[in-house]
Amino acid sequence: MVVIVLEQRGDTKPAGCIIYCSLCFIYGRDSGA
Amino acid sequence: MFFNISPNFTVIYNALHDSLVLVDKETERSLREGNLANIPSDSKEFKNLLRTGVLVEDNVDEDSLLQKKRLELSLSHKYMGLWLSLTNKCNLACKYCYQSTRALMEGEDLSPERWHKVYSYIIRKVKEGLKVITMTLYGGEPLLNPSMALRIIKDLDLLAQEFDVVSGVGLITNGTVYNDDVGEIFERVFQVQITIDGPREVHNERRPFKSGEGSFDVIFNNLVKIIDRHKTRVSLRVNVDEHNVDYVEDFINMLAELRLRDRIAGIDLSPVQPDQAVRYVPFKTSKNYYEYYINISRKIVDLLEYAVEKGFKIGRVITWWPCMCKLKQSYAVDEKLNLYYCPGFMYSPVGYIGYISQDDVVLVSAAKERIVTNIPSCAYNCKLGPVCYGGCVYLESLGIPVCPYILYGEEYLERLVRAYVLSRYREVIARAGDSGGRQGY
Repeated sequence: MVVIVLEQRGDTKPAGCIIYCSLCFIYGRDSGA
Repeated sequence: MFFNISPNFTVIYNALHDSLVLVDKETERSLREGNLANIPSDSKEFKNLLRTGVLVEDNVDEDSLLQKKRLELSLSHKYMGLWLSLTNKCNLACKYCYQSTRALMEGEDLSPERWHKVYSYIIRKVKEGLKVITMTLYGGEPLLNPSMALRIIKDLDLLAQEFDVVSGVGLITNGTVYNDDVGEIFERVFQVQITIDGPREVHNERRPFKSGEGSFDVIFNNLVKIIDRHKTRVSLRVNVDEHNVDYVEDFINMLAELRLRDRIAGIDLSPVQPDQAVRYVPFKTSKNYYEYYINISRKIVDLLEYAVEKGFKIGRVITWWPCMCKLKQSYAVDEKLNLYYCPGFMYSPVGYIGYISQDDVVLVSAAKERIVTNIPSCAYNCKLGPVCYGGCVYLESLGIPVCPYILYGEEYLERLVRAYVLSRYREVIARAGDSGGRQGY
């Protein structure tokens, strides 16, 4: 059985992304490691 | 949400916990069928599924919890995101630049007096409970006003020291300005985005200096110096439309050959927004903006997969975290302190919602509040609702359908998520496969 938690982000890190937004890189795409 | 990653593995996204969990196909089958006999309740796998929200008690209404959580976040005093234009002057003359269509742009720098008003507003909010502030320095070209950039960075650092506040400053720059005067800025921001639109000739055609001279060599040399000298994460953005889309693979190859994949934080491919510039049509094969936007969004998925294949990282594509339009205390702010929903609307009367006066925000209509609190009904009855929340306000203002099902369809959306996961976790997945399925984290 494989269950690996890749990511679980907390509420205080607004670094995720949404599907459409190509403008925003703080609230938009998180292009980083 | 389940996303197929490989013949052996699936990734599950749980919006309520903002978690991504890799499972093997057998576990996926057990979860889909609600048959937990194969997952002992005292195992760490079971506990991880519980912790990440993949497993919940029968009586938990996750949709309601997520709606509540999202609304609380949108209305929260704890978070503020500002996109601040330091100047609307720019040394480039990009063919598709949206500034050519924006009536409220008048050619000014952000003055110290105006920054003082923004800072006073931030301090007032800190005293009311603000805990996390992210500031993006924007323009025009923000580094044409370097003293202001440094002042903002220093002021926010002091703020974080004096109060219990986390602050971070990001920089969006065209990459043409790098010298001793701006070195400290690159050292102190947490992330930099530099735009290059393809190989030399392609980029130079699209993003020349105002003089007409190509900017590629200057930017590329600066990029290499910046990643050599500073630890700050630098991501590369490529603005893509039908005029350069066929050259992006070449550009990715070039970056790979120059061994930049481990030195830049990631590659972000973004569609040129339809109708954003005067006398610039971003398509040549599509029939209209609507068709163009869907086509280019899907071609970008192809290219992101290619970039990942070449070893580059790409941005995460799904989260429950709403965009800045939906956050009460988040705005794009121009150098005259006018406020807009997001940078897409900068200098546009359509997206103008108010201004900063002394130490407060003055909203000229209830539109911001409406957008913050109103989630379209489709979002409540949709599989993608938790990560879509009704779509992009900017694209909607252009009349472009924003539903991710229309934009990507399930196939492209799954490919997008798969590319992200592979760009970050290829080795983890390989190890899980190699272990013969005995590994649990």
